[in-house]
Amino acid sequence: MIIPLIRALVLLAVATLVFAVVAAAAEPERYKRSVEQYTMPDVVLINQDGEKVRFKKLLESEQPVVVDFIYGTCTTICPILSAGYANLQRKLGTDTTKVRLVSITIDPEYDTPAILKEYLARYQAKPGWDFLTGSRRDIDRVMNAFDAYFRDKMDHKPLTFIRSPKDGKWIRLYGLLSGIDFLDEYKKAGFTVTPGLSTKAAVPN
Amino acid sequence: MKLLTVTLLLLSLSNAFAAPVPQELSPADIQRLGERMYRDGILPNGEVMKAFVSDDVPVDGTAFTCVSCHLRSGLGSVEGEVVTTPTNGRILYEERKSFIKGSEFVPSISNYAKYLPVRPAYTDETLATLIAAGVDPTGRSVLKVMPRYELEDRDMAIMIAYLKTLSDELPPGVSEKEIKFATVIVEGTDPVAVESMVLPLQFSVDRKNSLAKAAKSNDRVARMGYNMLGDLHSYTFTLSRWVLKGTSDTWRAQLEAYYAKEPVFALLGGISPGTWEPVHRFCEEHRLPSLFPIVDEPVISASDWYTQYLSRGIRLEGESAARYLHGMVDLIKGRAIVQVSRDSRRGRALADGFRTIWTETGHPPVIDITLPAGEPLTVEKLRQIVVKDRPAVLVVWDDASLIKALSGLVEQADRPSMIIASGTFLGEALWTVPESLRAALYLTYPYRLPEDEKRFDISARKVLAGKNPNKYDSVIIRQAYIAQEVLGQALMMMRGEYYRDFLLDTIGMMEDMHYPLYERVSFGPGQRYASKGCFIVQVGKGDKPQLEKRSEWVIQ
Amino acid sequence: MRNKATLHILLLLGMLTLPAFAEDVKDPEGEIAYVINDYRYAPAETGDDPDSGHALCGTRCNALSIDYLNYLMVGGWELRKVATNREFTVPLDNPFLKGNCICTADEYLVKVITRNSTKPPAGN
Ligand code: HEC
Repeated sequence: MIIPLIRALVLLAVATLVFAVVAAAAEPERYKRSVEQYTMPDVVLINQDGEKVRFKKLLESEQPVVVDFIYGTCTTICPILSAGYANLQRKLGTDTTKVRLVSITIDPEYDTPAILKEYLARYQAKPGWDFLTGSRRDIDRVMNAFDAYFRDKMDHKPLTFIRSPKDGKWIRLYGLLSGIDFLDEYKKAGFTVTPGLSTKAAVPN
Repeated sequence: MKLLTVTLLLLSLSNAFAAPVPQELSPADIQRLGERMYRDGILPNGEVMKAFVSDDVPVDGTAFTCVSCHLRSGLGSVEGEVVTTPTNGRILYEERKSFIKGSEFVPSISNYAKYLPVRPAYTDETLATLIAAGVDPTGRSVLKVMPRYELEDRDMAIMIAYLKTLSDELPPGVSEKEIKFATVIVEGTDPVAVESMVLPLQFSVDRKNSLAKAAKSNDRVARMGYNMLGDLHSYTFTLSRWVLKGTSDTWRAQLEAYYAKEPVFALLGGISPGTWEPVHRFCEEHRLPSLFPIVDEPVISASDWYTQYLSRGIRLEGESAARYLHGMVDLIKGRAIVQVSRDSRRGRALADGFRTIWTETGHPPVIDITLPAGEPLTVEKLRQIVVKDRPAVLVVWDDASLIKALSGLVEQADRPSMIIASGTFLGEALWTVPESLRAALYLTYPYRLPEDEKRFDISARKVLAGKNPNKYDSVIIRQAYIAQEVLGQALMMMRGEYYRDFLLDTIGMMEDMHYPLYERVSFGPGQRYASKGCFIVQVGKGDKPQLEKRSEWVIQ
Repeated sequence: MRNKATLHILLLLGMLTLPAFAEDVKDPEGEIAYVINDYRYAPAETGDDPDSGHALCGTRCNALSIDYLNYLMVGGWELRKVATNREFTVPLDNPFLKGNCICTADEYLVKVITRNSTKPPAGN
């Protein structure tokens, strides 16, 4: 149980890094944005219904696609990202499937399809929002493809990606976005939301 | 609009909140109602708590609530770049200085205070303002990650009263100088297994105590120990053995008696050849953490809190087999799958694991055949099954005796294309699987493969120094080694806050670990089965075959 | 322990990717380990279901991949990259579908680190 000094120093290093960023985040600075070109691996993942999903095909779609990385038992970051997804779905009105929302687990050890399903239900996810798990190696490759490799789920960072079917480019958003920012980014990618329907869709089901 | 509401709320709250805790409620009511808001996001009147997060995103308490971020102990969490500060009364009602006095050099996350803005102690009023409007007593608007909650005065008062109860007084088993542990041993367990379980635990306790002792007499050791472990360096540990005798229905009373005599902080390790349920229940009811009992059949629950198991036990093999098969179900095209299982603890657990996942993945039930205890599995029996049901896949959960029966079946014309069995149920006999059977036989194997495991030998050797390894069970030694490693790591991360819920919260925040025995163990808030993996392997060719992986560690 | 922690630091300092050593490692001793980067199914006959084949080849090839943290986090072991994106073919080995899998992998040589002692310091 005696942990060598060096290990303890690692903790300090972590703490320093962590808190430096937090201090910065306390400033009004909101999020970082860039436009990227990514190549998706042709892997087979599994969705909340236990169905196999050919990942590359799913993303290279005619529809707008949004991707984030979360996991079933995550603390702070996932609630925020997922609340953002749920909010977007409410704004989309009745046809929630016109945008493909994809969440990918970074904890494929624990996240079975049943866990994914239960998670989506907690956020009252509607059709169009898929949560994927799969082989760890395949998920590593997906993370790498997005230049978003997390060595461990505790190193999780808030990243959201929006793909425009027009040119296949990805908008990369780093940070925890407000609902308005998220919608703005989504519109900037060239999409529309149907405001008239949103109140109707917001009625809890 | 919503922002306006929040602003108005802020204005009204910043001078108006002074609601006392409702008179008609007993402390138990407060505890219950507060806990429901804190853990389930449900208001005292039964409605769902509402909040705004990230400025303007509405969220329901049922999606997530305080516990998701501040965790059950209220002592907060760290994930990636986001630090969720403690939200228990004791810490909130204390000024936050730029450092914690005396711990300037302690390289633990207690140093977080350095990097967070200072603030004065909260009062009930300022705390209500923070919860409702996200503004702390200095006027700082805290991170938008912290939701802003719309609570009525009465509910706010209950919430605040509840926060004051979180991680407040030190639990039994912890004093200024000592932390007490016990390990539960069920009588009738193989003595070799018991010794193998106790050895690493005692090793680690002794080592810790000798550090504490050395630090008392040697300043340099004390300084080093302090730098490494903070105040933990001077603590001593005790480890008692609680032996349970007789039938399992009498264990509860025995546990109560042990606990009354010596209330411990947590149970460490523990071993039983059969059920563990009464110990599990006892721990839930006394809110007593129990770390890594060595059992084949852990209690499977998605919500129980206090027992952290090594894995889902032997049923994990059945579950993994079902997942593996699910991956090729389209190719089986409706041909029969037969599951033959021994009517024994292990056989039933394996079969149940398989069945549960098979159904959960949406398939019609397989043909289930139970082998009565004591009746040997014969070639004839298997032939009958094959002739009758013509299965594409035969799943057999039985011990080593199945090898002979299966070997007889291989020559059969219509034999199943794939046979699945349990590697641990076969035990050492898996090395004796004849060549003719190897191509068709797939085995579940919930450990790291032997040739890879040799890289992890150092840790087991450390514990076994000066002892004859043949007198110990190499699997159990490793399991107990993991138990003490995780405990040590967690206590260090706990930065002096030795609360029971926080122990489990802390383990939940640990990174994935690469310990002996299991390819990977992982944790997470509320996750209670550390090793989730089980390879599907085949036995390779030759006299000294190796196991060949047919799957990754975790199969989804 | 100490090595494990050192590696931990290295990892934290941003060496998150595996060390890419010179391609031509002269010293061939040590075991070969693969990190799988891609997979493809090569059907045996035209009727073989390509989608199932692709998924099963995922399982088949990924099973050959090491979890490299299992090497880096232990201490005392080192992975040296000896080839990038090497393709090799393995039989699918599935009783329900014929054909082969083409796995693409980075190839590593697993070596004991001899520079530092792998023994934990005395008394630790
Ligand atoms: C989505 C995550 C999340 C949820 C849910 C959440 N909090 Fe927080 N909370 C935070 C974070 C992050 C901070 C730190 C913000 C900062 O200091 O900038 C915080 C800060 C606080 C603080 C201030 C602590 C201090 O020292 O100033 C209190 C009090 C608090 N939360 C109470 C609650 C209560 C009560 C609930 C439930 C009703 C709750 N929180 C729900 C994330 C969360």
